Amino acid sequence: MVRLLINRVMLAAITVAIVVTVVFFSVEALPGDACTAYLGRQAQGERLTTCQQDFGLDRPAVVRFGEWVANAAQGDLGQSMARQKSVNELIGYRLRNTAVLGVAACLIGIPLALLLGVFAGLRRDRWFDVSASSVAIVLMTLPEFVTGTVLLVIFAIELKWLPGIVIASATSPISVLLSGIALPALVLSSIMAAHILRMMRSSVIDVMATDYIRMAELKGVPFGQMVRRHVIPNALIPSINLIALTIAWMLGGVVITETVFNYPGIGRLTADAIGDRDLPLVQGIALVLAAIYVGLNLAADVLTLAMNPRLRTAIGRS
Amino acid sequence: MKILHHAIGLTALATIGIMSSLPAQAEAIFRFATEDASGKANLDPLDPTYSYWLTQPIFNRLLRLDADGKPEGELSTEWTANADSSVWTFTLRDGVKFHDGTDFNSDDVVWSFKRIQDPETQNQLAAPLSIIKEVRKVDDHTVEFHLTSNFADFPLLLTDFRLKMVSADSEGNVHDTGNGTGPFRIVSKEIDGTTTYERFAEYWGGPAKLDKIEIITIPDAQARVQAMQAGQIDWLAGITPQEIPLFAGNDAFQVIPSSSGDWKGISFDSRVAPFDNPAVVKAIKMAVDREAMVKLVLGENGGSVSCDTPVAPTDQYRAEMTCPQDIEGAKKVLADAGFADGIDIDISTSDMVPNWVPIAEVLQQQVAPAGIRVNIAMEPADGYWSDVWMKKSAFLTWWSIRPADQVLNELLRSTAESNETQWNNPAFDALLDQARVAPTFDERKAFYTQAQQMIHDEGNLFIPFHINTIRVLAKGVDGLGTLNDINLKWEAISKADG
Repeated sequence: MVRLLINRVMLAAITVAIVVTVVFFSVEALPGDACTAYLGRQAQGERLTTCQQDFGLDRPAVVRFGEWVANAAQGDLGQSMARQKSVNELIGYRLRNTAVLGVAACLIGIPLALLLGVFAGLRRDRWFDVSASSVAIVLMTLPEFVTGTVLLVIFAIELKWLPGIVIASATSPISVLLSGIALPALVLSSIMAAHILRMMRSSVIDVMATDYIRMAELKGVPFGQMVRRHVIPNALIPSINLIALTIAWMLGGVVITETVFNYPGIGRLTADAIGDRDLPLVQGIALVLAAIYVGLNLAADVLTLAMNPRLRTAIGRS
Repeated sequence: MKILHHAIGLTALATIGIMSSLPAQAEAIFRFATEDASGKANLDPLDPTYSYWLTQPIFNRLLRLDADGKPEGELSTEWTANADSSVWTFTLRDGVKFHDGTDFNSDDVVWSFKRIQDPETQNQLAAPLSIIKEVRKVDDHTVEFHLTSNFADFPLLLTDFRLKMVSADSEGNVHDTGNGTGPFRIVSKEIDGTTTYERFAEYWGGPAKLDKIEIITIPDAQARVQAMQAGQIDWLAGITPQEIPLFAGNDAFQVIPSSSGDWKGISFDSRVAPFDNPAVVKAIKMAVDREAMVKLVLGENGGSVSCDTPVAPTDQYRAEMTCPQDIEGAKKVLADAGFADGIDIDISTSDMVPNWVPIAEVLQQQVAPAGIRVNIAMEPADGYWSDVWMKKSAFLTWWSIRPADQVLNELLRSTAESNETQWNNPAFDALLDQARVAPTFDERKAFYTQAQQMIHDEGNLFIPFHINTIRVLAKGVDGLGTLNDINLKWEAISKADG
């Protein structure tokens, strides 16, 4: 078990290392450099040379990468070009904000999805299942910017029930962010929920078809108790992995959702940093996001193992 | 710091509270959005990497442009020239105060100009202002500008939007404090959030009509449109003609198109074949249908035709020209130049700037019947300004509004740093020199008109149109006037209740 865990952590670290290496050298391969990107039309003559010297761009890429890795290993992600702040400082608050948004989305999305999924599975092919499943499929296929825009138009522009986009800076206290979080959280949770609902539904259907459930039914276990004690715990196991994956996948969704709603999180920062070619910042974000993604996957694996004794011992024996 | 966060938090909370519930005893707060998300926090207007919008309400120039395109006093009240207009004497306004309470005087003017011309700051204005030999303090409220040559329109040069006056005492910290003389002063700066300004009670022009201004960073264009639709902002600076139906016909909004003076076009390097033969670009210019190009690229009301002149339609020196499509004429010009079988050319464009790709595509279709076969080279946005602009032989470009003298000198004079077409025409340079020293407006206008005609006839610059800005304002907002954004009088903007 411990060896397995160490193996997984090593693999995760290697994945992150590959991601940052690829990001660094693909950015290197782009035409121009961070200074031409930052200075734009003013990237001529002396101004350009000064900038390149200031940011050390006159040295070979391999040397700069080595330095960056050495600093990053000590927790220093360098200095943003356009923003005149350290990358750590920029990412810090926004990561918090995205976490707030993500937690809000999960709090709405996951229980709702699990609940609906169980009901849909238990009432297979009845009207509730059919309508819940079709709505889920529609929501799954709609990209975030469509769902987001539609919700904005309905709730903020036409009905005027909710504020439209979020007007707050990254360092605002969480209470301020919460006031505008409803719509973006809804967008993220709707897409997330759709995936989980579908998974939970089919998982419940599978469990309902097993012998032990038949046994329980024949034994006369009350339906509610049977669902609580036997169906849900067993159906949850495959869903847990998916929930972790969905949260990881949500990192991509936040880039779009945060941009649509102007939410000051890591997603909007990513879009902005790419938009004004703030390369040290892009690099830092890539590292952080890759680490989170890989970390969540790792957590999913470990959780699944922990929840399923059969799996655990099977691996333990081999 | 914590307290500050809470204070900002409370303000924001209160703001949202006001929006959703009672429109409390109204403080007039004018909100608008900027796209500048790069976090350029720099409030020093003389630094090339300053934040344009954030500095607008807090600084003044010596002069600004009035609605007729003529200079109007801002921090100066009177300006006179000596006989040959080589020395200009400016009388500064009395009783002007900086936001920190200090007085504005000649030292600040001298210092501001010195900074622009300091090679350290690498200010782009240094080149156009190189005509200034010396700025001399005469007394506390009088300065003299000694020029290297005679220049009758020197005051127009001082209306440049970047020429903001900064306090001589604020050396080194104006980029943080934004200490200016303008009608509003900065209360809190949140570069990726909301920057708040309050009315400066001691403003020389009398207190501004608004209590507060809030500039909100919303990098995404779609999100800005939605913020306007949801009533979260009062002014949307520029929408596309396609977005007009979202606002037109709705009582909550005013939609106002006006000329921005900005243009987009193509520069052809006049040193490189085949563009070293002026007939080639001339044929392109003749074969193009500019009216149609405006409609196709910008849409109805999106802009106005230009016959290759970079001088804005609202500028007093703009030349009246017509340039209808003439395919047969274009063919003949090409044939006379030895291209009877037509010609192949490359044009570099990029999707980095809106409209650039459509301009190239429409041009490609329009000039094809004249035997001009255009190959469009799509260039990456990364490195466009360093690898394509002024490097390739034909490339898309754009410029924001500048006074006639300035744009002609910065863009087309043979010695200009940004001489995009590498044009070297002594006759043209001579016209600009003559215009500068001509004593009367009519004479100057005649020279500038001739110069613009020369660009159209012989130059390698192709400018199909000037662009309109379409402003959307919330109902009740007034006082933005008809001038473009750089000449806004912030103190005159008002917002009625409701």
